[in-house]
Amino acid sequence: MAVIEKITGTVEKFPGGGVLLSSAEFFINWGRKNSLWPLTFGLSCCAIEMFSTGASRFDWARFGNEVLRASPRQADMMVVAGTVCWKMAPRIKRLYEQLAEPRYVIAMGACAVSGGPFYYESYGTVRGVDKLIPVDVYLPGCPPKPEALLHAILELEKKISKERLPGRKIQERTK
Amino acid sequence: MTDKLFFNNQEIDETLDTDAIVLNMGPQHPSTHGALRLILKLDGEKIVSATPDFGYVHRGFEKMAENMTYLQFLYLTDRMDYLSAIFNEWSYCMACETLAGIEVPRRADYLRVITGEMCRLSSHLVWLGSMGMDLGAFTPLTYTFREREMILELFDLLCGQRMTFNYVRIGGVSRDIPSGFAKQLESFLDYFEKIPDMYDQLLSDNAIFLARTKNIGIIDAALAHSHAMTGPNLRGAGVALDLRKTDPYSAYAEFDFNVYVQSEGDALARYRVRVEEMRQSTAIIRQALAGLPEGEISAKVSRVFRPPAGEAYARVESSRGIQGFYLVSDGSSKPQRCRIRVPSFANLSVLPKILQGVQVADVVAIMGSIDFIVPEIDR
Amino acid sequence: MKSVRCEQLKAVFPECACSASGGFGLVLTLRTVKELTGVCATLHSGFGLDVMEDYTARDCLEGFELVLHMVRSLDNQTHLTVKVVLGREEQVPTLSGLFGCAQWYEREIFDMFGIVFSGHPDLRRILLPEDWQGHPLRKDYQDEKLLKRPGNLS
Repeated sequence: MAVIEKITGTVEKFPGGGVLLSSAEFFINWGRKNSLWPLTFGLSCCAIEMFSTGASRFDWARFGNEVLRASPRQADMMVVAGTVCWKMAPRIKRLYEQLAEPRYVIAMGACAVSGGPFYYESYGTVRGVDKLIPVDVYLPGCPPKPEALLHAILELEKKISKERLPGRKIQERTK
Repeated sequence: MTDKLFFNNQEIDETLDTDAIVLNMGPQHPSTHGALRLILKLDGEKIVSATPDFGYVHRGFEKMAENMTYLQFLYLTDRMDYLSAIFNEWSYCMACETLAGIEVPRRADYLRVITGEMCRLSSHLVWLGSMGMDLGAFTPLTYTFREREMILELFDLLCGQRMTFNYVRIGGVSRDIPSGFAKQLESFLDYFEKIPDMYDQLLSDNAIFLARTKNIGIIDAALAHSHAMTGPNLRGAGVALDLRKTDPYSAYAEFDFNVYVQSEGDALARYRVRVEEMRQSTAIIRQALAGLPEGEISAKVSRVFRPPAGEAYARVESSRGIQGFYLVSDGSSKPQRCRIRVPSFANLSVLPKILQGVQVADVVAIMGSIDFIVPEIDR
Repeated sequence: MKSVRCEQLKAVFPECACSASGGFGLVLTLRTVKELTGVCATLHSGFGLDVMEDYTARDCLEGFELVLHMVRSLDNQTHLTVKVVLGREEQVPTLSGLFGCAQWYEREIFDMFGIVFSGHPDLRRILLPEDWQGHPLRKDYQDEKLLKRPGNLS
């Protein structure tokens, strides 16, 4: 299968099946990236496109985001979908701190990336969620289409597959 | 507080000391329809008091409007009630047109009605799916979003955008319907004819759904008027107020549709009103499409829109209620005051009253049946 | 839809000015803000205008202008706009005894303009955080968070 050709490892065949030998990093990253459970965290318009991604047509469950968990302790990923405002900012920080590691953040939509259409003339908006929490993938759009959100999740999976043990370098350059 | 103690169904003389719990629901919560925080004071499972707290998505629209020109602010109006974005743009453009005395061509009015009713359909589909999901039924969500995707494809064809359309302009609409749009819309309407019946089969006669919505969250007409509730919430309380019939604006006077009213005022009544509205919207779109007149899609409006000094208040019947824009102009190219009357603000103000004495599990059913959207409240 | 006529209003409220406008039905302009509760109570019971559709304020040159849009629930068509101009520091009597939604509308006006409503059961900010300084919709509101758009717009 095509998957076998892409992995960095050796396959030893013997009667009854085969054995796949690879690094621990490979398997741990493979398990983590294919089962990212998001936190239910929609703030405004982009949340509806996030629901559309979870609904029947685009269905991000195909990529492993099977269930949306309401509690941050049970979620891996936070998709900040919508405008971040001053009143909500401490709560976002607290939710991020409650997420159990390994945790990932996708800033979905122009508002979460940089303030978006509310960059000028708005006193209530925080210009980008990366002023509060570290972000892994930035997804522009107003709102981004569900296909774009799926692309962002795949980019995040690529990023996770490059992680190294022990610890995790957040500012790793992607090649 | 003290509670009585019973043993073998007989009251015994000792008392049990209990305390009220303060339960915080939100602002991050799957069922609060946005970033709404409810501070519930509970006595066991019953609510003693409920205080809504919002402002978590307060972006400052009204101040932004004072510093941007009329045309620059137009694209932002979508982002308040984003599920029915056309209505926001529509009422804003109607207010600007009243200020400047612009008359909208008939074709533009018809196009506004068509896209507006499509928006109402898509908003009610999201409401239906999320109300079912809040009550534990996940399947209706997958069905309603499937139908909604078809509507969004049509919007994509017409406006280039799935959600925040930026379609209505001061004086008309921005572009004409492309070839193939009318045919695709008609085939969607033919498909959608039987769909509300399917939702009835899925949800409306379900015993659990009925047990969770019948006689829950009763809002009678007097309470609704005192809180200026509008939209399906008011029509579920027995009051036949639909702005499209009582005060027809745009092209609505030319269409034939019914205003569905239920008198019980509970969550089930409001649910039934919205499902029936979906059927009526389909009828309106069909009539509008069949009778679409030829002509211009927009009146001539100057590049720099500078209305004379005055004020205007224009309202539309959005999927949540009466939405209005109150614009005060001082003769310059920026509004002196832009006030946005949102239906969800008034609809939500009834929540502290009707949540008293209710069980915690019913909070979700009541909030779902009122169908508010928090970024609209926060503006 | 002007079932309430100017003459009827003038007969009941002789000191107030009444005119038509492109806004919302007739406009009833009060002289002082002290008569607000009395006028609204009479409109509620006498004229049947018992729905407060919108209650807002405006920062104009002379001070603040309170704007109240009222609707008659019986026929759902008769509208009236009540306006009154008040000074910067003046307090307004609350209407929360008359209309259920007035409580929240008045909290929002207090939040955005700083107008204090005397007799309000719970006057605190509703949209902005509790510790926010200033009232944003005032014309003299200064805030470095409000990034001004560069370039000249007119």
